[in-house]
Amino acid sequence: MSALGGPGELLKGATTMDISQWPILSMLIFLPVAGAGLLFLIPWRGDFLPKALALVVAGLNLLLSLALFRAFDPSSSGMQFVEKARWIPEIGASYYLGIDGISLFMVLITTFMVPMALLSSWEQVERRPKMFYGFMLLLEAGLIGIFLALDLLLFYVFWEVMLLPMYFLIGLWGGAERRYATIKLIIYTMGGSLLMLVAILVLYFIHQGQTGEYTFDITRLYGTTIPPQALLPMGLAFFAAFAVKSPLFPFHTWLPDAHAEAPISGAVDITGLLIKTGAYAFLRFLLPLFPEFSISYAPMIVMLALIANIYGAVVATAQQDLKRLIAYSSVSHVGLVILGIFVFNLQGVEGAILMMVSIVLASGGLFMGVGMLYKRSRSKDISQMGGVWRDMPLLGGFFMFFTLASVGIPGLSNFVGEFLIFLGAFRANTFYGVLAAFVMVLTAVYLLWMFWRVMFGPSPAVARAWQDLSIGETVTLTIPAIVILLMGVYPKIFLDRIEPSAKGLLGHVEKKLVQREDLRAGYKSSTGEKVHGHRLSSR
Amino acid sequence: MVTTSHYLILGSALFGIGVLGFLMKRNVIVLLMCVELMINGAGVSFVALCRQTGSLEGQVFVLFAMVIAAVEIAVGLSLILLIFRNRATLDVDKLEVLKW
Amino acid sequence: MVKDSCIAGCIWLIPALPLLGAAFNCLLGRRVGNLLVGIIGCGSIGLSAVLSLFIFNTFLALPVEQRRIEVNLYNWIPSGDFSAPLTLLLDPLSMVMAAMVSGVSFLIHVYSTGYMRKDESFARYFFYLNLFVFFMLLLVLAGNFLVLYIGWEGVGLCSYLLISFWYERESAARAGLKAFVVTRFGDFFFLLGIFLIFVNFGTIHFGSVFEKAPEVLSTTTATWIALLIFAGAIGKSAQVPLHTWLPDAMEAPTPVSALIHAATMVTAGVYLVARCYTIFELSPIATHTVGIVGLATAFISATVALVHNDIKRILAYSTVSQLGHMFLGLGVGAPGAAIFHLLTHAFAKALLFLGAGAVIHALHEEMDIKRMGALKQYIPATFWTFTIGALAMSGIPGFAGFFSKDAILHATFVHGGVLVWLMILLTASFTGFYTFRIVFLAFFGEKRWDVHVERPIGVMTVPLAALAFLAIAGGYMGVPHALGGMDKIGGFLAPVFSSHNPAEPAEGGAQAPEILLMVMSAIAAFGGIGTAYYFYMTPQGKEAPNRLRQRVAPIYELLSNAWYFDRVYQAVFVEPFMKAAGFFWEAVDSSVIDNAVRGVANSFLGGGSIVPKLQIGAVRWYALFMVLGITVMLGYVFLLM
Repeated sequence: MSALGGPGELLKGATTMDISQWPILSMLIFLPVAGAGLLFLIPWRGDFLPKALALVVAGLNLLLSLALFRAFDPSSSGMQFVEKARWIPEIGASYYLGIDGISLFMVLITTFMVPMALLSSWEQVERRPKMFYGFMLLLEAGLIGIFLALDLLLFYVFWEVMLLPMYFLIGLWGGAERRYATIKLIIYTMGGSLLMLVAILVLYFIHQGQTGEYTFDITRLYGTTIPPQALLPMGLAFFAAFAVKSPLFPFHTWLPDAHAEAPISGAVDITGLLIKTGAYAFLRFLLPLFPEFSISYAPMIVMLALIANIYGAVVATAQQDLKRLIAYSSVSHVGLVILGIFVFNLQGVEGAILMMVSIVLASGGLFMGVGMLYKRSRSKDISQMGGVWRDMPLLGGFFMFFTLASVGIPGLSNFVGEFLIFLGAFRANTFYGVLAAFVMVLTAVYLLWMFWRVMFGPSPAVARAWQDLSIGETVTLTIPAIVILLMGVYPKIFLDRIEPSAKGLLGHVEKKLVQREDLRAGYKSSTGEKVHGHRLSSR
Repeated sequence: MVTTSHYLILGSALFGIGVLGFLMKRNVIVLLMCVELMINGAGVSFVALCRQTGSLEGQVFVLFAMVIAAVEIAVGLSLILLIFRNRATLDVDKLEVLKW
Repeated sequence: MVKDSCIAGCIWLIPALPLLGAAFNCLLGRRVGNLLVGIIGCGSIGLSAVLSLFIFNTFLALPVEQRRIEVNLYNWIPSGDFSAPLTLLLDPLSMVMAAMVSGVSFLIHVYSTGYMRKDESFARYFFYLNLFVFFMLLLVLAGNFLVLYIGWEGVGLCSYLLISFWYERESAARAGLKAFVVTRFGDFFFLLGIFLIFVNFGTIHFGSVFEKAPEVLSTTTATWIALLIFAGAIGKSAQVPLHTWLPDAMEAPTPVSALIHAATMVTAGVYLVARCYTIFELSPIATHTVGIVGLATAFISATVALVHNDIKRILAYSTVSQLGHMFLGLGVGAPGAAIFHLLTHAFAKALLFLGAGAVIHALHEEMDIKRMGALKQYIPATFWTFTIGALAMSGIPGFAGFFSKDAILHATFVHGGVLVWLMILLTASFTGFYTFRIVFLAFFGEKRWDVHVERPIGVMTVPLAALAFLAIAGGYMGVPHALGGMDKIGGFLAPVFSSHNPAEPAEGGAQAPEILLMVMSAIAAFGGIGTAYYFYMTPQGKEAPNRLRQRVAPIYELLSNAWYFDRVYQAVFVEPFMKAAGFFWEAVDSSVIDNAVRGVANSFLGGGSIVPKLQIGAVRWYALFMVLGITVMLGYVFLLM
């Protein structure tokens, strides 16, 4: 732990020391927990110290994850840095963590966005900043836990624990309608997760029945054969939990409310991170645990994803509230991500993972921009704006940059993900590809129209004394902008690490299907041609 | 010959009278007395069954129950006294403040 | 070989230099002052232009079969069996385009330093403009479809940014959005075309795709791919029915109109179709479509240009019409002629726009030609260069436009039939009429304005002169065989389209009709100019336009409303879409789905409000419930036993 003294020392340490010997994944989870504990328990005087402490903790976590990134072996498709310890041996639950190419970037983007969110809310949280920062750190810990857990029960714990800080962040620091928003969020997500808990237990007992072993270890559970009559209810239960969190149409209506009412930096995290857990869980749990369900119901899921994709874009056009508009754009983008997952080819899955990371950055950047605008204008109503560029050219420039990233201009991050998803969808089924790609037109419509209404046009007659961005704000926006550019220009860094795991995942799904050819034949006859439309390919 | 059954019938009768009384009477003091009847009905059954099985545990229970019943009466009566001072009535149907 | 590697080593610099300029102007532009911004902006493009001319020179020295140099910079998107490396390709086609783009861009940059010198967003302007040149050069130098697509989207983006440059004007913001969305609609098809290519070929690399195309593609697939690509070209090159954004794009500063909306970006569609010509050749349907769309566009927009009074809009419709000519050339199997026309048009139209810019500048943002006149005496240099541009545009023998238009007309006559040829001939006379209508109304006649004339400064006049030179000389790189020339450009480009029979059929026997055709087209152009002269220069013709207008009132209405395209689109697409958006939000999202969610919540609340009613506060009732409960439970147990 002495190597954590400073960034330079840490990186140096990474080169000389064998980092894989550290319990680095646990450190990623428990460092923020410890930070939050310090924030909550010590009676701090003043606001600066606790804020600085939170930022330092989040920064250390970022460095830690970067060290992890350096030590990550891009050629391996398996779990790395695995940590396993007894947790509740009586029921076969273990503390089991691991990381692969799919979760690597989820973790990185989390550790990256949390300091961003802290920075962007530095001056915006006036009430009890200590608590706010503590909850942010807890949220970080919960999110990282979700991405790292390889034990179904542990995953479920993190999955639920994460809601608590979310609840408080929106409920205590949110906007006027925050109570409605939080309760909606909780009801929606709890409803989904409880179904999943039941399905987890059923899976647990089925596995026990087949192997005589009680375990929640997902790598073991991957091998379970689900009896055909249990397949649909269990698959649906998992699907419901993840679809709500993603959020997939028609379970999406909590998101705009939660978004609109969330505090600015909380909003960064909801957009970016909370909803990525849903899409991530599809990849980590639904696909490998229930390949038959995933494949045979893929046409329906894909339809929902396509509807979400286009519907989100259309509804976004009608929004008058900036944050709500961006929330609907997230709904639309998440539709694409889920489409990419359920077309079952390498391009789709890789595109989906890149897209998840990229939405976090692009929407997060937009949200931070909106937050900075809100700080000056005290309004989120688009019709109240206009001519902002004249007053704040620097903000205008950044806002344009993030808008364009969301629109999917080549050279910026969203494009790579979008392109791969479109391509994957097109290969799976021409119709999917055409519908999915059409959204690029709609995205341009609603985002650029939003930009026009906010930024363009004459300055209002009333003089506004809005200062352009401060240096701190500029830095806060520059960092994600650089990453967006990097991802757009040189996505190879990301794709190289994602590819083995994505290939492994698709290979696993395929293998499991082939193993039970009889079952598959039964399903093929019941769903007809559609299975053919979903030829697996890990090309 | 008085068998265990007789004792059990006595116990049940005491308990039944207690229950019926509790349901039918309105005076709080009478309700309290009915509760005592029920406790004692249960006590009689306990003792009788203990004697039949030859174990002492039931007897101990009954002694405990009696002590607790005494304490309960003390607390109960003092509560009733307070209620009567405040409300000037002992009719349970009129004491229905604790509702939704 | 040495030359090869030398070229290969520095191709990337051609687009990279403008990118560096853009980066500098973006990050530091606001600090360093306009002078340095201008120097960096022009200098980076200038270097890039010099470099591409130098490479061009080296390139010409190579033997024909070696004129195809590819550079792989790095693998941009690798994903399974899909890979999209950042490949640059230098072959005759991209060489010509790169040289033209960098050269014209340089001249327009220089002009812009004068035109925009008083604008407060000088640095932002040069940032956008440099970025545009970067994307445009990337587009023409691309070695696979996806790199081309980067450039394709990038130029669209810069076009959007520059159209909305004066963002405080509502109309500029609107025009920018319209341009972006309409062209993106085309891009959507183009992207699908790329997917289809990848699915069929397993690669998106130009060389492999075009080489294998004849074996791999069935006619149907080729038709699909070609039509999808062409749909992209329709959007970007403003062809009917997606042309409506270009006239609105005139909200951009005039040098931008010259660069993006006349010389370079809008010709990207022509370049794209020429690049994929191998695929188009496989599908007669696709080539016919290209020709028909080109013809329709050429004719429709030429007619609209006849009646407009806004100088930039006239030129915009003229651009659309000339792009139609190029597509017609592509459609009738003459890609070399189309590219030739692309080049000469770029010079002439850039010149006309810059000249128009000088006029607008002189009259303080006046764009209505009805309120100009007699400018010849005030800004003679502009007058002369503008007139050269107009002559080149109209296709007067001796000027650049003549040779290229003739090449297209000839191919049209041979492959397209007489009727098509006649229509294009009519269009040619329209072209002569509307260009000279500007010349006569703006520079001659009486003075219809009263402001202090602002004379163009040196940096504005020099590019005009340079472009005027090109607008004359540019034609001589393609003097047809019929006139005893060598058709150098056709020969130079031929290897790119070599799978086809030579683009310009120039056998000895065809000479007589070709010369006849030239004479005809010259007569048509002179006819148009003569009519304009009669209408606007002679006293007896003064009343003729008005009389004509009254006589054909319905047609005049049709033309001045630009064939009602915009109104129809507004009614058919824009308004229903906005209504649908409102409907889905209010009726579906906020009502159906949210009410379902609230329904679930309320059902719990409702249930929760009934159960507590049992708690009535009466002790004896509670006791009764307990007794009943115990009875039921005991009864259940006894029954089970």
